[in-house]
Amino acid sequence: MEGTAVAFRGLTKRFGDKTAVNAVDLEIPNGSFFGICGPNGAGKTTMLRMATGLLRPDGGSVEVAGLDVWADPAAAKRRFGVVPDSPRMFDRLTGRELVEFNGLLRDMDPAVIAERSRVLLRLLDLEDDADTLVTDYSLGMTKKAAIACALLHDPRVLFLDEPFAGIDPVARQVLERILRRHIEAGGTVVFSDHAMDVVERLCDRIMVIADGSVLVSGETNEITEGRRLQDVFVELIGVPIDETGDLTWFGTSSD
Amino acid sequence: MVRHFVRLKLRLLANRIRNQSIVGTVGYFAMWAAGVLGGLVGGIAVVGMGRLTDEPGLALILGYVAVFIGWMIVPPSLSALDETLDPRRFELLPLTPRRLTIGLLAAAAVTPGGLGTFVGLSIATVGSFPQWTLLPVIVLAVAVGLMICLVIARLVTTLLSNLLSSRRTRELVTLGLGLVIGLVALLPTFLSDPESGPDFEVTITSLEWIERLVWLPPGALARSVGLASEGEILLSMGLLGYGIAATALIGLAWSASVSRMLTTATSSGRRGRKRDDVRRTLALMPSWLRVGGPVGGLAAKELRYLVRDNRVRSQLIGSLVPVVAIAFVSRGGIGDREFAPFLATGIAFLIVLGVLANQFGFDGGSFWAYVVSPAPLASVVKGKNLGWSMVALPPVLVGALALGAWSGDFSYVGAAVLAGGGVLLVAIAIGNFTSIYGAYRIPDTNLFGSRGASGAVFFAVVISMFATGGLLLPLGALVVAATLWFGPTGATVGAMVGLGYAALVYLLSMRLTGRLLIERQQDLLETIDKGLG
Repeated sequence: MEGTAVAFRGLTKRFGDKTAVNAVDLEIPNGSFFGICGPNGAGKTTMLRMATGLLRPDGGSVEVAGLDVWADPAAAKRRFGVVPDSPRMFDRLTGRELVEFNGLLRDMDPAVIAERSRVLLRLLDLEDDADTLVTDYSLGMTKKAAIACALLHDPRVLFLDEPFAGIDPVARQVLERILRRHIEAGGTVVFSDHAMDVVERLCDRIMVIADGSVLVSGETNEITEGRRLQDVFVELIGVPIDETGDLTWFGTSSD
Repeated sequence: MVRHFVRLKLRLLANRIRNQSIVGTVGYFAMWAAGVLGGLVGGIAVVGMGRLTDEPGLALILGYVAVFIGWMIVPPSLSALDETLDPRRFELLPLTPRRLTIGLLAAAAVTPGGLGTFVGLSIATVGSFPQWTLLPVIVLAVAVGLMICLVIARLVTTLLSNLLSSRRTRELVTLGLGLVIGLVALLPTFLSDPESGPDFEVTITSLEWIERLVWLPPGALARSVGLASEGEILLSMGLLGYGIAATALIGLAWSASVSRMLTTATSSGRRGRKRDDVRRTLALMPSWLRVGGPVGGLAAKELRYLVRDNRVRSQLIGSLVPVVAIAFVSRGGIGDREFAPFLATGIAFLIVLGVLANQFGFDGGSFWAYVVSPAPLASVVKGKNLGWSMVALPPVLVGALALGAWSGDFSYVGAAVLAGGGVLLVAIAIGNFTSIYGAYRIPDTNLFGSRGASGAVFFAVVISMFATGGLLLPLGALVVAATLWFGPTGATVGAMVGLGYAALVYLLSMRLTGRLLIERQQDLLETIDKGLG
């Protein structure tokens, strides 16, 4: 599939004297299943927030589906969907109402909203709880509701920040299928995760980021070269010195 | 789009009474009734004041400006009660700032305050100038009057929210806002006699200063109706235009502020600094207190949290406002200045009561950590109480001493501190019970937070404050009587006896709280389990 789905050009963000994202240049082709990996505090979430119009960069630009996100955020947001790590939602709505209002505020046709929300809630196993208030949902159910909201308008690019955290294995399987279906239909998925096995299994392209800079980026097979992604990741980031020998009090408890 | 925002608001309102108890539902409707009733009473009061003074125009100006100032102050403190007003909830949606602000404005109107303001302004305006020929001007003045109130409330809330994202500015803004409110309350005094300083008698007997309020946009809107009734149509239109232009400008400023809010990172504003040993020692539990074990550990933790929690810190800093206001007034010669420290400590404590009533957080935001910890729950409560006392008592002592120095009479400082300690004990006693009773039953709200909640929190806090007030009556009566009959010595002895009474109330509450904890433990654990699942 041709064309660029997401393009970062010199993307930079600083918080005080800390550079969270340091002049990142990157192009993600259409139809990619793109994984962003990095240790805690590497700048993954900051990058995704800048890419989705939620955090203004200090330098550089982001294009999603051909639109400069920061030139016209509202127009760009029509072309992508986002599932943040901690979605802020109207938790005093039921799951069904949440998805439907999300569609209405996107100016979607009510009949289309009704049909799509029914399918999404069923696929995400929220059908039985569709009329329960989101505030009464568990963490995993809340995440599924956020995913339904992000998919409702059929975005060209889907950004997900740790989408598999807190959801059960069955839901994970379903979500993987939905995301693959999205790619088959010409969409692009960009997501960050710490679970290397998930990233390795799903993504055809990956990027490893640390301290705000891209360490490596490209096709998964080329980067791993037959090794486990976990090993490549640890090699790139570096393993801290083993100081567990200092835990001399382990096993001394008398309780 | 406006239709969708209003529908969203109505749906959220309807869902709020879902699963509520009868008391919660009645309380909810009572809040709306209170809004309408407040507007009704306010409107009639303005009309009555106008007729009594034979100055309906001035009374109307005062009414419009008072409502405007009320909207500047109250909604920013309660914004967390209404999740449709939090722009961040819409950050993922493709809404331009213009569409978003218009939608939020429409949602803001669908509140008890919005309805009450509409009713109040309508009654006040029509009642002050009951002429059919003025109807177009009245409709415009009321509509723009309501609009400017909504817009200023949103602007202040968003600006504060932006500012308060930095810890450093939070304290300054809270203190600054408190001082501004205090000064606004004293504004009539300045306006009446700027040369010789405050003179309340002049303020009460003269209404001339109100005319100057016409330069504020809401004052101009009110005056435009009066001018139209006098046949000054051009001037009336000019003032209306000024009011509309000001509303539009505030709206634009709000829109820009919302855009900035949605694309700026929130941060604690505090970088991880390496503290030296002295600072670390001061920040934790002082060793000289000799309080170890779970109680000492929890008190130490509370000390950290109490100064880091935005809501608590705001309340504590806000408690300085009445001290400053009383100092100002007592210097001006109103009342018996020697009572100033006494009065100030009482008011400062009343202000922190609101925090005490919800010290565990009604949503159990932190309660679960205590419930699942190995520490006995009674120790948790004692640790919290100790932490609170260590934070709340020093400001009272300093405030009382400062006011003693300011008023030139230290004779009531001791009584003030003792009585203040008694008030704190009673407030903690009620707060322990209320906050544990309400944990997980009432959704939590934080100042400038965004968690959705109902007015139940507000009512719970108010009920708790009334209960505290009721239990404080004997203490207050004792101290006042002893003061009036025996002067400073009597006040001190009365306050000491009052402190003993407060200690008894506290001990009784600890017994009741202990029982309540045992009763609720299973229920709390089940709720926590559900929340984590």
